[in-house]
Order: sequence, then structure tokens, then C-alpha cells
Amino acid sequence: MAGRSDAQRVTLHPMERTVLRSAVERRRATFRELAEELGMKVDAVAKAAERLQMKGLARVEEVVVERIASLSEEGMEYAARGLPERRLVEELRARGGRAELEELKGVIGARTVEIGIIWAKRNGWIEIARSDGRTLLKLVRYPDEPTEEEQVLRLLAEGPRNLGELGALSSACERLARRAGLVTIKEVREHVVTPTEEGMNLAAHVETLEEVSQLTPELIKTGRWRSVELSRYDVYAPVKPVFAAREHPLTSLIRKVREAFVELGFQEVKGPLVELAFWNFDALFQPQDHPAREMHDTFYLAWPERGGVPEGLAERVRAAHENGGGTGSKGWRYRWSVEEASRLILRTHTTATTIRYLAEHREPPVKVFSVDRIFRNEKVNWKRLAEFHQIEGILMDRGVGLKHLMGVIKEFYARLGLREVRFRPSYFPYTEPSAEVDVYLKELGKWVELGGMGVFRPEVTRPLGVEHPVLAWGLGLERLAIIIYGVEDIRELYRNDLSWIRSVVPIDLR
Amino acid sequence: MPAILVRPERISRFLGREIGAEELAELLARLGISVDEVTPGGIKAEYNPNRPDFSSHAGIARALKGVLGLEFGAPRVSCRPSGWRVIVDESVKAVRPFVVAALVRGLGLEEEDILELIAMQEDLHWVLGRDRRKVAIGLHDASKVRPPIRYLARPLNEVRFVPLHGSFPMTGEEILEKLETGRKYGRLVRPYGVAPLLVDAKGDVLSFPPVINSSLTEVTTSTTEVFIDVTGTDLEAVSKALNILVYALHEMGGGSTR
Repeated sequence: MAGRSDAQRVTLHPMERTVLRSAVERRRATFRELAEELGMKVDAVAKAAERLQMKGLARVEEVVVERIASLSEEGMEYAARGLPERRLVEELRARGGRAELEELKGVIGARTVEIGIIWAKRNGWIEIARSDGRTLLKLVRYPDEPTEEEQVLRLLAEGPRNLGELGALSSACERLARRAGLVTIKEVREHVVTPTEEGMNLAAHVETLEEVSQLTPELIKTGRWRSVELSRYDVYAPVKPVFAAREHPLTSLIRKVREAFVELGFQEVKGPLVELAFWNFDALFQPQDHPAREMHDTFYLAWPERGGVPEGLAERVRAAHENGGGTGSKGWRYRWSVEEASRLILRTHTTATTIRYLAEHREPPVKVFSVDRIFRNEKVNWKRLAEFHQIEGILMDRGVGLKHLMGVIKEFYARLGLREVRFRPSYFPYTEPSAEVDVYLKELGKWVELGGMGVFRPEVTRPLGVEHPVLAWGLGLERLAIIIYGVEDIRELYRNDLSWIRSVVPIDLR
Repeated sequence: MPAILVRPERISRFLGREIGAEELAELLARLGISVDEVTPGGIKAEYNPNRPDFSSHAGIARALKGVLGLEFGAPRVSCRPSGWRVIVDESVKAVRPFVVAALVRGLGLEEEDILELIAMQEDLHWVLGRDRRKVAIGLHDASKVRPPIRYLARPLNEVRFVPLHGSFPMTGEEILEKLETGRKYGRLVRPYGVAPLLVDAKGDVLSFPPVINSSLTEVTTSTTEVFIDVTGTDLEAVSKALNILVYALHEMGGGSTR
């Protein structure tokens, strides 16, 4: 037992002493009662009580201290109009004590009659007879006085009451609660302190040593420290949680991603959310009749509908689409339309932004990244959002190729804690070769696809006047977030549930 | 991303050697085919639109032969002029100008093969055909066809034949209004007011691209010769589609002729 120095001595903190004494006096008290009496905070009483329990001097339990009854909506209705059995016998009496079942149903409603019959019969108020296939109800005894249930209804209609207050009517109240929930009984629980026998005995004896929780300079100077007991820290004692400020998990992740890029020598770029189809699709060699451009994947602006496309560049991009534009490619072989390219959309990837940057910065090396919002015209569900973030990096330099790309990616993911990475061939319209990246998650014991990568096609880079290879890779931020935070429904990230935001921690990727 | 259910037993047939689901799933990844799930019924996978030849098990097996070192290079297909002709009329110029065709002989098609051909058609219609506009494919039992075939366009109300899976003749207008494919693809022909048709020498309508074929030439397990027609608005796309089908049919056992 903690706190015992020898069989006869018990050390108590002053607060424990006061609490114990009060508890012994009252025999049994709730935290709240003790706090009120002693002028202490409930937390402090709780702490003292826990320690008394640890020392075997008291018992702390959670009990129901009060039961409060109130009327449900249906109950309120019955309080106003009368219980079905009352209405039934009222109607019967008005008809001279006899009536046909069907007739009654027609007057006061089938449901009222059906319920009313059950209780009226049980109370011995009516008799039921059948003749010629008809059901007759006969009034046997009309209740002049309100029944116990009716009294309860009337009382509770004025407001909720403590069950104890209802006295003899409390059992009627409980009956009403069982009856289709006309009354709801809420239990109020509180913590109660009951001294044990030892605790009781102890209070009788005055021999208690002072226990202090702080070693003050005064105690040291006067030498009193020799005669007091220093109370032990109980690091497991329950306390009210304090919520210090915290970043949203996504903000935290974006910051980590930024750091990973910056450490590798990349610079962040930002661009417009409303983008020209030209930069989002055409400059990236995505043909104009590509299904992704159609209404079901891209958000087109209602107004303004169009923007200005850079003229000279547009002609070079046209050439690339129509015949390869001198890159050695055949191009897509169709009529390229500058009107289509001038349409304004919500960008569907940040590659639009990085390619804009590249068009303005053609001298090697170029190392830029972006973590920013993109929009896809898709139905939102547990694994997909319509508005989310893309993480993207591009690297342009003399003589770089696929192996450099793989190296950069391995390093990038390693900085995010994902050390096992593998690559699979794939396809994107603006890169060749292209690949997809899988990461191995030890916690799940499997490979998970995380992003894509590739080397930009010459049909993309030549029209822009970029002469050196461009490596590019990207992944979805939210996709990374659900892996790192162990979330199953992607919408959880944006639900702004405070308890989730406060408690979520990244999984251990080591 | 077109989906395909890859069955190891069927791949084994075209590969010429046994391959299990696990090994196959790994190899598919190396080809750039994305594996979703390995189920007892087959491997659920998706292929990228730059590889329309992966629309059939034969096409996938062909690529696997290279990866496994069993066979390299394009397969040799023996090809010679068949003597059949398709005569193209001016009337199709505005609506659907291009047509290519092939005749494949010596086939013994099983139910599986036919199902696969139908799936291929749908995939190619989407991937190459941009939803049947650029490319529409028709497969016909050649024994029901008498060459030469004419490719022409007729006003909608002058067209009348029994459509595939139907039991009575319908006019062009009725087909566009009442049949599902008619309602779906009518927009590709309505603006021109005419129906492109392939008609044989007996005067039978073989098909009304891109909407529907006639029931007369339906390919069944007793078909031994297949006449393929591919019509559309892009000669390159149309030729690619024919190419892919011919190679697939060749691997399914036929010797093709032009």
C-alpha cells in the first residue's frame, strides 16, 4: 500500500485529511458535496479521494445519485389530450356505456382505440363482447378519480421531477417509462466516497503526520523538512485533459512535405486555381478530344468562360498536337482549336502550374515543387474528394533520366519515413517513360500505390523551348495522409471533428 | 482505365505454357497493367489507354512472351488478298468516311472466344474510338455474306433490317428511337440525316455503324470465317483497331486474308 511507512503510521496530505474527516462524518458523500462543504474544487476532492483509495482508507465508486423523470414528446401529447384509455372510456360514457369497436375507431382514431383497449381492460374499466362478427365494448366502471399514471403525467407536464420527489407515485412513473417511452428517466451519476473501516478507525485517532507536496526554502531553512513526509507524485492520477493548441494534421503533413523538398534543394511555386485549359491540358500534350476534358472530370467556369492564350507559344503547341511539331513525333493528328484551349477551368492538377514555371525558366537546373489545391469533377465518396491537394515536383537538368528520377523519389519518400519503394511501368499522356510508385507499409504488411512519375515527352518540352530532360513526379496529399494517419474514410480529414483532430497521431513508419 | 478480368488458364492457352495466378499478377505489373485484386475467378486488372492491344488475353500473352523470353518481335501473320472488295460510296464522306476490312479463315471459336471478342470491341470503341465516333467495329459470320460489299449512306427512313438480337425488321428511325444503342449513338448520325450501311451483294444489310449490326451475320460457335469491318472518322485509329482484332483472331486460331 502506498504511503505507509510502518504499521502504525499513515501519512496524509492535508487535503486528504480534510476530505477523509468529512467523509467519515457524513458516512458517505459525493465529490460535489465534499467540494461544497470544504470550499475545494471538485478536481482536488477527486485527487484526494483517489489517494485515500490507494491508501485503503476509502472507497470511490460511481453511483446513481438521482433519477430524473421527464415527459417525452408523446408523453406531452398524452398529458394534453389524455391517455388513450381515458379517451376511450370518455367516449364510451358519452354513448351511454356501449359502443361498437369500429365506430369508436372512426371517432377517436384506430390507434387510440387499440392502445386504449389494452389498458382500459387491464384496469377493469371495460368488457369486450363479440356478436354477429361485430365487436362491442361495454363500460363497466368509469374512473372518477385520476389514475396514478394520470397524476404523474400532470406533474411532469409542469417540468422534470426527481423520482424521489414523486414519492408513492414513483412506481407509476416507472410504469409510464416502460410504456412506450412516455416518460424518460435520466440517471445522474456521481462519484461517491465511502470511508473503509480502516478509514473510520483512523479518523478516530489523531496521530497523523503532516504530508507536504512542495519542498519550500522555508522548510529547508528551518530544518522542518526532517519532520514532514513528502508526498509522492502519482503520475497516473486522472486529471482533466488540457488541450494545448495543435496544427491540423494535414497542415502538419504539408509542412513535412515542404521540408522534404526544401532539404533536397527544391523551391516552392504557386499558381492560379482558375487555369486556362491551355496550361492544364494542351501544353501537356493532352489531346482536346480526350475523355478527361469532358464534363464529367473537369470543372469548367460558367463565367468568365475564356481567357487569353499566349500567341506564339500557342502556335508551337498547335504544331505539336497536329503533327508532332518537329519533335520527331507524329502528334495526335487532329485539328487543334485555340478556342478550346482558351476555356477557363478549375485546375485538375498542379502540373499546370509547374509547366507554367518551366515555360518562364528554361535554363538548367530547375528544381521546383508545389503542394496545392486541385479540383476534379467526381462524386465524393469514402476514397475520393472533388477538391484536394496534389504534391508535385519537377527537376530539369542536363542529361537527367529515369535513373535520376528513381533516385530522387527514393530520397524524397525516405524523408517522409517511407523507406521501401518500388516502381512499376505505367502510362501518363505527358510523360514517357512513365511509372507508378508503390510503398511498403510495415503496419499493413503490404505494398500500397502512392503516386506516379515520368520524364516529360518532347512534345511537351520542345514547344516551350526547354532543351533538357524534365523529370516529374506527383502524389495525392490526402492519399498520403490517410496512410500516415490510419484513416479509412478520406472525408474524415475534412470533417473537422475536434476529437479526431486532437487525438490523431501518425503511424509509426519505422 | 479499361478493366479486364485476366484468367490464368486462358493466358496459359495463348502463352503455350502453364502460368499460375501469383506469377501472372507479378508479370502483369511489369507490363504496366495495374492489378486490383486476385480472385478465384481471375485477376481483376486495368490497362492503360496507350496499350489497346491489352484488350484481349491474346494481346497480353503476346507481350508476356517477350517478357518471359519465349518469343520476340511481332508475330508472323500470313496475309494474302482474298478477292473480296468493299466499294465505298461518296455518300459516306460527310458522316463516316473511312472503312477497312479483313477476312479471317479457319477459325474454331469457343463461347469464351466470342465473349472476349465482344469485350474487345467495347474496349476498342472506347479507347480508340472515343466512344464509337472515331472507330466502330462490326464482326460478321462470313458465310452469310456475299461479296462485293458496298459501304454507303441512305436516308434513315429508307433503311430496314433485323437488328442484332432482334426478331423483326426495324427502320433506321425506329432503331435510333427504340433500341438502347440507337439512343446512345444516334447523335453520331442524326445531324447528317443518313445512316451509314454495309450492304452485301444480295442486298442484305450487314450493319449500320456505329449503331448496330444485323442479326443475319451474328458470329456464333459454328462460325469458321469472320468478316471484320471497321468504320470511322480517323483512318489511323480505324486501321489500328483492325490490326488489333486481326492479331487476336490469328492467335485464336485463324489465318487472315486482306
